[in-house]
Amino acid sequence: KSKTRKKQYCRTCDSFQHGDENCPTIWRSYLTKRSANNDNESCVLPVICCYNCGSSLHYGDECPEQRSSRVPNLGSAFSGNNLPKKLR
Amino acid sequence: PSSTLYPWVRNHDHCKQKEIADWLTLEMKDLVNYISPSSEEIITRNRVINTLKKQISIFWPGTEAHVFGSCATDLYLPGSDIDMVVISNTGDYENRSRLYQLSSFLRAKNLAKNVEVIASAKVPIIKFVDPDSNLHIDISFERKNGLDAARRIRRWLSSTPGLRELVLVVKQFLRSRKLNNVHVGGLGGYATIIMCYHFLHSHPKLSTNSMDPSDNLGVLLIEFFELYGRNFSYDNLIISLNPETEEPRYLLKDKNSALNTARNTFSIVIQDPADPTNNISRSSYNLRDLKKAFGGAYQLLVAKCYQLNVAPYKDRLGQSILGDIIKFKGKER
Ligand SMILES: [Zn+2]
Ligand SMILES: [Zn+2]
Repeated sequence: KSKTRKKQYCRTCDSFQHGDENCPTIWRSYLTKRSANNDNESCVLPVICCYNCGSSLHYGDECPEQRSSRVPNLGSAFSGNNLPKKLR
Repeated sequence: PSSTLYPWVRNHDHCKQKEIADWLTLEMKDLVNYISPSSEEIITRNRVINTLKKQISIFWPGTEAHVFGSCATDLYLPGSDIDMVVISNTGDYENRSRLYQLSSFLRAKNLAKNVEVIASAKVPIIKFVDPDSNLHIDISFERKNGLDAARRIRRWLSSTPGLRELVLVVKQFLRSRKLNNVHVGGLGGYATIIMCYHFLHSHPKLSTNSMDPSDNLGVLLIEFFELYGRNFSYDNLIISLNPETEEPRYLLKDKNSALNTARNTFSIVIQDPADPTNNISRSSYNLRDLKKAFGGAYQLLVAKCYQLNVAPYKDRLGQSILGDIIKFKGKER
């Protein structure tokens, strides 16, 4: 790695984890239903199962237990952030 | 050069899409169309199947032959085997002499070439090739579980939009990595389908009905690889469906020893929806390569998205996002 490498920063996420050009929002962008965006958004209760401990109370990204997979997590689909606002 | 390796891209350029995720979704639909059977293939398969069904029932009155597996659910890739099962009224046709009787009959009637009788396997079968179409056929005996599974999968396909596309692309991916053969530790068709079904029904945006899977196939494919290539705890968890509701859930390996021969080992365990003590993926011992392949597919797809996102139009033209993970070998379609 070059010593002169610029510190990376993503303006979209306000994060130093990656640069603008490697921002997951480039591919993780959902085409949601119109009704899911306004106040009548979905009230369907989610099926929750944690990919790390199996709990039905939280998603894997928010798991309090020690992570089992050795691959680092950069933030995934299975996060409470992916729920409609009023279910979070 | 890309047009020969990625024939599904030909005449289907989506490089003008603003969102990379939309480009990938459209490319997935093109790939699914490309690998879906042509009408000639469907006609050939039906002819082969119907001839065999008829001839077997003439040879053995009181039996009926059925198709199961990918051919019964229309989730087959070009050239895939045909799985059939003979069910009799008496239920006693799974024996050595019956297997040899039927194989000689098929050979004599010119319905089979390269016939192999595998009588001593856990599931005894006759393997052969149809002389006209060169399709490979396996016939087993008296086992109804394949038929039950096919019925269940057909029900899932009609209740789960996006399932067919995701399964076909993942199957084609596994095939191009030679990881789809359970005889060498790969992932079988039913296991692949259950993983895709579980993923789609547990996704936060889909289980709350916030988006339409067909509009989001691209991001869902990457997130499937993200879950099973990076995050899922193969050490501790069993992939399972609630037997009453078929809702996805995970069970703990160390609380379900019946399913898990060796505790806390790095193995993939998928509970059979029809038999809670049966592990669908017990033959998939090559989990290390499977997980690596899923994780690698995630990396490659994501890197391609970043690369194409900033590329000028002339460099995007004719490009494929899926091409890095799927090579299509086979005759032109
Ligand atoms: Zn970012
Ligand atoms: Zn957890």
